[in-house]
Amino acid sequence: MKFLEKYGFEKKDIEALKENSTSTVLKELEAHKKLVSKNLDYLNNLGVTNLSEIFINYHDMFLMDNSNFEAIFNQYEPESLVEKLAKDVRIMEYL
Amino acid sequence: MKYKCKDGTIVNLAPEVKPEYFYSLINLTTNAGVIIDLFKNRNYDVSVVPGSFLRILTASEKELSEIASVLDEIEKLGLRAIFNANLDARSFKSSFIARVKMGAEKGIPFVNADNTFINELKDEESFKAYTEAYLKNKTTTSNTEEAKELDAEDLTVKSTILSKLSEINSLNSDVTLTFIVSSIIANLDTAIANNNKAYRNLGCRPIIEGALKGVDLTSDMQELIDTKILAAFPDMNMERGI
Repeated sequence: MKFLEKYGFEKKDIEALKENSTSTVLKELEAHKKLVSKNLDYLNNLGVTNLSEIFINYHDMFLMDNSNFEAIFNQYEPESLVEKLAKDVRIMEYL
Repeated sequence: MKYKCKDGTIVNLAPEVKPEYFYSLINLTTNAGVIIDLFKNRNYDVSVVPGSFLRILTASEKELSEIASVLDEIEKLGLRAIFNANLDARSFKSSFIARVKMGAEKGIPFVNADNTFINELKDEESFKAYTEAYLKNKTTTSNTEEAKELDAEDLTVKSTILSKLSEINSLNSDVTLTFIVSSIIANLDTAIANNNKAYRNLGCRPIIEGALKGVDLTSDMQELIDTKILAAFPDMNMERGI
């Protein structure tokens, strides 16, 4: 999970991620780290302020094809989206 | 929405869940049937599950035995209702239950008002800092608030509300409205339990209002609540022409 350090993930974030996942999903994230990174880059560039929190809770979503992933967020006004995600990360499930 | 796992086991996802978000997990759910039985055998209600539950179904053989022993530990602690409301992969890890156990033993609050686990439980470091701060500034807060279980009638009402909210959200591209829907869903169980079956006479509207109590609402949110949400849940008095 070293590639996550680039996005400012700390040791405790990686620990929280491992605790909220299974070895199978973690292997999948590692195996597809290019795709996962692309999706992380997209949200990072969008300006989200709680990237690690989003990833720890919804990392499965980052295995989605990049165009499908971006399409989920593109339908919303970015500034408002970033603000709402910071307020309550659970809106991810309903986007 | 029915979801077929790799081993053929059918999982019924909650109506508000968007299954396309979980397609990547479908080929990873190798022990789904066995894992679901672990929960069913201990009287967990997994007839309808949140999307986060699918991640649990990707557990390996080794992780499966960890889940089984954590489930046994939860029974001993008498916390099944709370865990049933938190069907996430992290809830069934031995490190997590150790923190919960420590919280329970020391009287440290570990559950939010909506029966979700506090965020500080997510890792050792955060929980340690939280515990130290709590014990230092011990307040009167306690763990006495038990998860209130909904009966069959409540669950029918819940299902009706979720279907309607899901319908509203599926036609929506306003993130503020999505935020409102998400907040209602997060507080729905508590709002239904606190409604004490007043919905029989008053309809679902007071439940929606109850679920939004405590949510930091701006004026644009209030307008959306009135026009998009509450409009979908008519006032019973208006329906009766009072």
